[in-house]
Amino acid sequence: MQTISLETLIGRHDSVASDLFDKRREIIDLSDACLHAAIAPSDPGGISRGLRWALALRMARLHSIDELVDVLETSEPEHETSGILGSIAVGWEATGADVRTSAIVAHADMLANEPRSATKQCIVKLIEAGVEQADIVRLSEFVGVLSYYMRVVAGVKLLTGRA
Amino acid sequence: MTTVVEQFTTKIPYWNPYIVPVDLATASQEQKEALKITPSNMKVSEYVLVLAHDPETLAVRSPLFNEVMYGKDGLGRAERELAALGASIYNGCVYCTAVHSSRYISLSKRPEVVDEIFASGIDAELDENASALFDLSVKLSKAPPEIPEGSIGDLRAMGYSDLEIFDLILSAAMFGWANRLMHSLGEPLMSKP
Repeated sequence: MQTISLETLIGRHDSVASDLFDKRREIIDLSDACLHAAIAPSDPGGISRGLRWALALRMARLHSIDELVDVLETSEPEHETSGILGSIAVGWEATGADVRTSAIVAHADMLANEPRSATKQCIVKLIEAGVEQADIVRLSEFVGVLSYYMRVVAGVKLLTGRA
Repeated sequence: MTTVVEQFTTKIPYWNPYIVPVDLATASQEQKEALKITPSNMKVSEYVLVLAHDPETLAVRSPLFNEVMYGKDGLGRAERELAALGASIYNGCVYCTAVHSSRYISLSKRPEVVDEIFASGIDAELDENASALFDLSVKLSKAPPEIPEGSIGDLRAMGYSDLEIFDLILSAAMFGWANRLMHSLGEPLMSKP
């Protein structure tokens, strides 16, 4: 998967954007590193890179972060893709997916869109569906990173007058 | 048995994980490196030990968090805490709210701002300056974010530089992440069970 960066997503179109990128270089680089660790980690554990790609695209679409949608659409993983992942990526229900995958998608949707509704029962449901505890943390970090990154993109676009 | 804290408070609760934290005695080298464990630094919170299940993300998340919340120059510390508070209130994270409301009060010496936020939530009626910062944080926290046109111009008119507004966006966005971990992976209790 190609490396995604805030600078290429947003662009150095004007002095405002260039100034922010230069003055917050370390934050920009660490933000990109976090996104890479979420979408294409060296050890994906039980949340495969294909599923991460599909969930990232699903979240970017639902949040209307078009720049991220575009770059993810052109960097579809060569392996692991299937009809089910395609359905997840476009935001449809994961029809035909196994119980574990369906539970992961449902949890990711809840955590991305309505985190205040999270309860202990949500974790119990994931465990009952066969999701390992370490993978629950990986999934939570994944949704957290994407939630952060998309808001930075949206905020900088507004700040640079391109929202 | 100890009670779950459900109301916003400035008293920091005990965070009780739903996930079994990584055991330092059996942690992998990658996990120890992400935790910054050294012979002179063995004290790690249960929250961070839970996050150590994903050491690759934790290793980059910790320095990013510190830069966003405690970086030099730009937006003041109190204003960054107010942004964290806006996100935490919107996302309903009682633990994060407790930590960052108490830090905001400590830095700003303005408990009345937190009192109003606890009383009225995202509809809190604050002074013009605090309101502009809090409202932008809340609206950025929505899914999808809903930042009203003019909000950036209002902050500029109050004297905030673009770098300071960017710091505000980063702080609120960072808590969009932190709230999703703290609120979903454990619960705030009155005391340790």
